Amino acid sequence: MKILIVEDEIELLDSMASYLKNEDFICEKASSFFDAEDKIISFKYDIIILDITLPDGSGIDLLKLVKEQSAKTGVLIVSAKNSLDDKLKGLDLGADDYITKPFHLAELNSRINSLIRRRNFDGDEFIVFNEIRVDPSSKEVTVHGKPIELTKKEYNLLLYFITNKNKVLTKESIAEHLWGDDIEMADSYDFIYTHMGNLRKKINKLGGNNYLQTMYGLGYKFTDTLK
Amino acid sequence: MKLIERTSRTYLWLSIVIFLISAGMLIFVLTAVMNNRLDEQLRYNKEVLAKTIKYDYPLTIFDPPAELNESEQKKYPNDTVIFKDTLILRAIEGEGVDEFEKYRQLTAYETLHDKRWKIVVRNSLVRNQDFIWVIVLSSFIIIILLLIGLWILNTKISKKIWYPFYTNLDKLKNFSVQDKNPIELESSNIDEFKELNESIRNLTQKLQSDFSSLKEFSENASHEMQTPLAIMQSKIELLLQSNNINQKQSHQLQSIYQAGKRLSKLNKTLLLLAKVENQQYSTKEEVSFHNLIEKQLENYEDFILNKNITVTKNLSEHIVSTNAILADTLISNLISNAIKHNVENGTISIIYKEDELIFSNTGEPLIGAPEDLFNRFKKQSSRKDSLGLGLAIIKQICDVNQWQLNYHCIDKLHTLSVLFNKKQTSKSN
Repeated sequence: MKILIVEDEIELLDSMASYLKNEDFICEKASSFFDAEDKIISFKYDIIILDITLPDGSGIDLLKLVKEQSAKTGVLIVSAKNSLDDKLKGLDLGADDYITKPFHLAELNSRINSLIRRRNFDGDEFIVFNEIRVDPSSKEVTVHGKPIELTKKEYNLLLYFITNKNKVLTKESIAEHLWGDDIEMADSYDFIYTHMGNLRKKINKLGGNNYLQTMYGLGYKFTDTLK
Repeated sequence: MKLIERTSRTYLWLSIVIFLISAGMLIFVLTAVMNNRLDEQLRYNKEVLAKTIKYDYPLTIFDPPAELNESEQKKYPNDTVIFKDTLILRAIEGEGVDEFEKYRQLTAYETLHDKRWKIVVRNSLVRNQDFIWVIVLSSFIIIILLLIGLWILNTKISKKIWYPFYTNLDKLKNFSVQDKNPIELESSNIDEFKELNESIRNLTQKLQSDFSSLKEFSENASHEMQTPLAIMQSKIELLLQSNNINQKQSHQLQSIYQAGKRLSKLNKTLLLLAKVENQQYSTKEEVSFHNLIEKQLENYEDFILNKNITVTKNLSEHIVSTNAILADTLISNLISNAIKHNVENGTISIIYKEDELIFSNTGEPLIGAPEDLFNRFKKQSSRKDSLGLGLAIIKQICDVNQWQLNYHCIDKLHTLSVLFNKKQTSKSN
């Protein structure tokens, strides 16, 4: 899976690239319109993460170029301007998703994965983590082949964890993923705990392992390697 | 008091005073002149009388000349002439009523035919007094005529000259700093008004440009802050992934991370407010509040269950034409507000009618004044996670949609209502 990240802030570009590289993506970086244009014309990417505001041009123009070059390429727009115009324009021109700065890297990864699933790049329908198998199209989860009944929140939580496996996910990032970024309630962290408890119980009941680790109150990690 | 009324009143008092003084002066001067003339007449009459006596012609129109007695002879030397006003009782013919009449009287002591005589001649002052009354009356009529004239003139002047003033005053009343267009004032050829218009124009232009640059600034500042915040957040998240941080470092990282989150949330909210203010969410579409409420209630389910809150709904299927994002934000904020300030085992009631959306929730009484409720950063609760901007957003969204937002609290039941048809209700008020 080849990804091009277009972002003029080098530091942010590096962060995104290093997080995504860990997820076994091949990441290329472009920090200017010129650079990005060059790369888009020369190579083929599965996913392009596109910052709308570049110092030497508009990401919207790059988006047009991408769609001309290869309609199959998935585009995720990143913008500091949470402006509706950009969003509508971007989505109209064929962008697949839109994320506003500042964002969680785990959320970015989750969006990219969901984009890949929607575009069905490798024909792999299921997301598998050891004995756990998730079918995103029907939203069904099985453990050791036996289906488990999950609530919507539990399902989203599980999917978020598996997508970002082996990564520390902060409570804030989980809360935003589950309830949207409008949420402004401290209670939400307790709910994450409750949902996770339920999720763990349901998986354990069918003989699944406990992959959830607590990281010093910072957040959680879904991993099959020991601490 | 209107300016025109004020000046009219001054005119009125001045006119009355001047007329009273001039009428008094007129009476005084005229009386003096008349008396003078009368005195001349009396002198003449006296001469006639004296001659009559001298030449022994009897006359009845005057007092019969009388010889002076001893004492009078001593008291009044020859050629003494005394003028005075006197009242004489006179029977009015045919009416049998006695009436005092005012007379001017000349008394002269003269030696005629070697005898001392007292000659008394009089002239009625009644005609004089009538004259004075005529003056008073006519002055009075003139005052009234003058006042009516002044009033008519002033009203006309006020209508014509003050017309631009009042029109501009109305325009100023309806002026909003958020207007993009400069204020259009009625021009006038009166210097004061011209100056006033010029000042108003400059002032409002300054206001508008200051306001818009302030808005731009806050929006730009928020935008510019997003990127460094994004860098901060991503770096901490990357740092968290490394395996060799201990518990202490992890706690410190957590503090930095949470402070950054708070800052970015605050920034996002302020940006939203600025954008709503700047009318950047102007695209309208058909929005079903019914669906939005159901969707958001589902999203907030955990929070509602956690406090064991009972939600009652009475939602109609009406469609409102507004911006979808703002409508979503409004509902989300209203619900989160109703949950956040609720109590354990409390209730939330949501009523959605054609022209009104009502959210009621149980909760602790307000700490501050209800007027401050919609102000930014006015926190009613001491909750740390509350930015105090939720209600400010609700208010701002209602404002740009020209909806009326009301709050009242009866017996620990807080009610926020949104009236969609603000114009109609304000008309009926």
